[in-house]
Amino acid sequence: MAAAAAEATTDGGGKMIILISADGKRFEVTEAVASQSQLISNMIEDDCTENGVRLPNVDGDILTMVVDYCNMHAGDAAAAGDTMKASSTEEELKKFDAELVQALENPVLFKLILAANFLNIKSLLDMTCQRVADMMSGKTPEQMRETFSIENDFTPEEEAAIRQENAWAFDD
Amino acid sequence: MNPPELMDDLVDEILLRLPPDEPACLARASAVCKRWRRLLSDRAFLLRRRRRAPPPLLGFLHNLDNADHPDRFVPTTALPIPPPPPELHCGMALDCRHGCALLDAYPSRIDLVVWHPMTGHLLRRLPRPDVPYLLYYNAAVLCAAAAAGCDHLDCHEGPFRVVVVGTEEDNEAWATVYSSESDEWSPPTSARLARGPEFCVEGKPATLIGDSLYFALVFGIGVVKFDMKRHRLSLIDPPAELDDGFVLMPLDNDGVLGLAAVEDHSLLSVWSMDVSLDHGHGVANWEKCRVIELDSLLPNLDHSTPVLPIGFVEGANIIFLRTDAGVFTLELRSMRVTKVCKNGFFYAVVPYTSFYIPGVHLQQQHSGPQISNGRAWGSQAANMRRGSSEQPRERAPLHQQRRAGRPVNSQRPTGDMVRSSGRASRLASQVRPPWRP
Repeated sequence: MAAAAAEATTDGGGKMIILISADGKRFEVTEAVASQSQLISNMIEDDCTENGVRLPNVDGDILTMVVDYCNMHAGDAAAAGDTMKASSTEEELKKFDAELVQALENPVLFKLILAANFLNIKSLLDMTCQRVADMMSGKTPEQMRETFSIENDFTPEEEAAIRQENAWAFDD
Repeated sequence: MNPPELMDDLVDEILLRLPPDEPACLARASAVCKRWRRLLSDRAFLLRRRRRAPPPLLGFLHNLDNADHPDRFVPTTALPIPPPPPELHCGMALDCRHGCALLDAYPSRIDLVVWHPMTGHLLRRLPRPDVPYLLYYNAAVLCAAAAAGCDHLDCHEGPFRVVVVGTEEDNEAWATVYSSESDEWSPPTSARLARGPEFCVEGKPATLIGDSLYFALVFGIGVVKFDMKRHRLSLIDPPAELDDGFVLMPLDNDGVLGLAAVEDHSLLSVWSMDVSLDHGHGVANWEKCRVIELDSLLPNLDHSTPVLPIGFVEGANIIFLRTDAGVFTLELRSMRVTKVCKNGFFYAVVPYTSFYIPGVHLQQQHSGPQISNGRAWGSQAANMRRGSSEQPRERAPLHQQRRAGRPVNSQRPTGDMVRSSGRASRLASQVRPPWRP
């Protein structure tokens, strides 16, 4: 969704919210779209979104993805009453979700996880964590450490013992 | 570009989603760092895994003496589950449920042993039930709190029940229930259910729905229901003539019994029955709810032998199919087909599902079975070894085998035998496995 510079306004009766990324990009979204973030939903309830919502932890490029995701999924509730529409929407959503996470390189995927966690968007967090977990299949411990930037804190003896007891898992 | 660091909570969320049916991935993850290793073998973490999904299929036990599958356990993942202890190699696998496997150490004598495949522990050798000599029987193992609505998140290696259902020579049906807490069998229940000369409980694992266990009868002539709450046996008619037999299953909806059989060589038909409408009169309200064309799912069927359903994985909705091209699993939700065995003319398989816990499994393997030193156990094992050379190389289906070979010593167990078994099992209850290494 393109960045918008307008102040909070109304669009067809629905209140609009301005989201402001860490690098100053502004996104205008409806309350329904923004409310998929539990964090923003709480802020709307507390009536403190008047001057826009600053998200100092989320870069503009990541927030673009988040807003796209929320825009796409905001139709869920509206379509729920219409069976035919709901079922086709469900397929579209699945396709959209799959394309969203599969196209991402690792650093961006992790940033999206952090954003989903910060904004408290459960379905996005679930999807992105699942994607990382799926990507770990077939990886060696060294590759997993690299992915997560983790230091190996086993002593050489401990590591050898673990490898020996799990020899069956290191064959392939 | 280095990825941003994730907080511990988020790493936990990712590890929680590792594929449960890939134990090798879990094992490799446990070698990444100390924190991951601690977390992956943590009990609270295991409970979270269990809440997310049913335990995955790790393999199956079978009762065929076959050179291709010398071990009674055939794994379906890379995880090397140890085969049953040598003392049990001549026994029969009867059931697996809630992490436990039930084996008959000395078929035809109801010499039951509960084994925990994941840790290799022999949990209990049961005293023999006080029932008349049963010509045909089967048994099931289940968590003691199953009827009380246990979610089976934390009951593995806890108290359990074993239910034996069988028939005497004159077709009288019997059932009795063992409780691991009291180490005793309930007073047996009997009923005359037979409608014809062939009334044999099949050697396929029973299905648990609510308070009742459902056992298939041979030649597809029906289903025996044992209501554990009321201690009552009853008969349920099959939905059709299904001479090649069927497998029973709990269907997605609570309280619905499913039955799957192959018709016309390659059509897998599934019937459903609302068990709450069953009043024990035998008349069942089966409804055919699904027909699956196997020709398009299973490759290269030449129909030289009929496709046969030989087992079902409760919770995971997976059916085992034996074909002339091997043994396949079919996931009924996703319709995913996996070949699990190149060949193996199994009549029935006993699927084993459990969560792999890094660090626990292998430690237990090295330490070996915990109880095999009881006097009664040792002499029993010696008897089995002596008898092993007389076993047929390729075993007949359970019911045929039992019908063919009445044991030499078929009198009811003496009080001494029962008491010695009781001592062994009380010893077993004292040797509780540690949760963690």
